[in-house]
Amino acid sequence: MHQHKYALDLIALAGLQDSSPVDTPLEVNVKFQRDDEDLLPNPNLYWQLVGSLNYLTITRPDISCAVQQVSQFMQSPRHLHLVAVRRIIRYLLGSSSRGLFYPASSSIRLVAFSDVDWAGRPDTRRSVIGWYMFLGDSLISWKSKKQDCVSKSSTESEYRAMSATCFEAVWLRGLLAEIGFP
Amino acid sequence: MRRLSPVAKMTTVRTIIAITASQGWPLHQMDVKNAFLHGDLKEDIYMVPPPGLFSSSTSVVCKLKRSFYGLKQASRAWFDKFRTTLLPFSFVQNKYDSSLFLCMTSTGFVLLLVYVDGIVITGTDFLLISNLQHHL
Repeated sequence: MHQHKYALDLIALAGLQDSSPVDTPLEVNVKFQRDDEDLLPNPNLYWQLVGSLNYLTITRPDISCAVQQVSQFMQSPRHLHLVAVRRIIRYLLGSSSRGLFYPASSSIRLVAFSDVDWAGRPDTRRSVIGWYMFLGDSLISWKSKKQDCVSKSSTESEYRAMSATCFEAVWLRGLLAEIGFP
Repeated sequence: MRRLSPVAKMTTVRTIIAITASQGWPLHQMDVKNAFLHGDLKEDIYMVPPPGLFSSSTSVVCKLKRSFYGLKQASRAWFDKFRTTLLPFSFVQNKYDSSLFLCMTSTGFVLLLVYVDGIVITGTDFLLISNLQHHL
């Protein structure tokens, strides 16, 4: 299952068809802040690109963390943030046909993983949680989300991440039970 | 006025597709043509006649008999219509995702997932699935 054509259209919208692809969606060890450099004179393109990237995360868990980061600056996007968006799109350039694979006769066993960075946002001191959930060998649910409140310790943020993951897992188990897979 | 039409959560869509693949069920996909024109209106709504309908300018307005593209309640009206269409088939709306409908039959079951006007049908009762495809 993939959104290959959508990814190609998005690359064309950003005008990056002829640039060089990169291997990762984000630069290593770069933390973006709200007031990095100058404001974009016209944020329309930024809104359009980030909105489209968000839609692409339906089949691209590999960019959901990067897209979560650039989504934080929708209100007042700056030049440096647009650079980050372009990098995600250059990453797509080298991987536009990637998607999800759902194998036949995979088991119906739900497995969930969660993680968190502690106070990863220098602006707000919030932590960003992430989770992955597999049904057998099929990846069905994932998320990269800023926590609602400030965690005062890495343990607290880990527990919050687990709680959010369990929240989703309970819902999924309910759904699975409804359709005959308790 | 209620104007939202439920769309399936992407996790639900992926879960259904993953299970369908692992169990080897058939998966059918349909689009409803002109979906928003099917909805029934609860309110009286009038519209200015489109240019060219009457030869001279007039104060006549048109009363809408059905829901129409661009109306705020169009998507809701369509979903309500769709839900009532499913009732005779004894489909039950799922409490975990209101755009998922489930029907248990003597020979199996059928799952139906709605995303505005796109529909995915899967399950083990092949007869009911083909009946549904004709009915919709």
